[in-house]
Amino acid sequence: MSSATPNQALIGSRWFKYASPATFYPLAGTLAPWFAVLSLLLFGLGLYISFFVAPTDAQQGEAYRIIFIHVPAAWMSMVIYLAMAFWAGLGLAFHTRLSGMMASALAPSGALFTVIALWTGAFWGKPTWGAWWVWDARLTSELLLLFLYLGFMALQAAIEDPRRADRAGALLALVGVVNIPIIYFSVQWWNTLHQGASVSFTRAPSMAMTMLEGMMVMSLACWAYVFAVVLWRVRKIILIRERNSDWVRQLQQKGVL
Amino acid sequence: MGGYGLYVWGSYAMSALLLVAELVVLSQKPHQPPMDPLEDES
Repeated sequence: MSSATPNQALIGSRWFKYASPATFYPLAGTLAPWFAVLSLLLFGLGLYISFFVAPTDAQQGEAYRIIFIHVPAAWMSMVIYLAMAFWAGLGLAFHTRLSGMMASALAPSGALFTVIALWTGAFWGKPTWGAWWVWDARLTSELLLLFLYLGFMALQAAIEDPRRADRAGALLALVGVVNIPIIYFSVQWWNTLHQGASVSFTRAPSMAMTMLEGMMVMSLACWAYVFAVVLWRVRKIILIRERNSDWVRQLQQKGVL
Repeated sequence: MGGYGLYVWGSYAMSALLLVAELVVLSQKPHQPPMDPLEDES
């Protein structure tokens, strides 16, 4: 027995409409360019604040400017993994085709932001700690995150049947979720060389407001970039996986593809 | 950059390179596997 009102049911049916690859494909095509433009504008503004507005740090000098890309990239690496695991789990539970495609589309971007976080972290670590790399809990768990992304992609690539690949990938993605709180809380749980969070939900940020603004704008730019790229990639995945369906053939006949 | 140019620019240059590389890879036409004849008949 359903307690949903007719209005709620209508809203629900509108959302579920986009669970189909055939209806999500044009929606993704409409949204991706908007996110791309937004990303460009936000990156421009974020870089301007990061290099021309934010003051020099009293302790770290100009080297601290790396955080404007390092912190957003590290956040994205974790958020994308959670999103990937969410879609993968949804596909595993409800056998929705689009969920597996979304998880597959998210993985390369997640891996890329993890590499950026590790690379920029090393370039920040060398002048501030005197070492490119240390086997500290935060760095090691972030490296493990990269291996989880690579493992997910390798596993999916190794299995020919996409539905089986989705299921196997989903199991790995869901098991790997345990690593996210380990990364996030590692600086509290263990005595790490990596500094604690400068921005937290529970207390005021321990940095100048202009620095925080620069970091937030760069984070929003990364979000918009990821939305654009993932929507673009999922369209390609949809076309490959749905190549035998009538709607893709119709698009091919119309010369749209 | 107060003597930190290598580190700051090295970070941003590599980040930009990776993001652009992702866009280049995405803009390439995918290798489409041939249609499955069994699915085609259904």
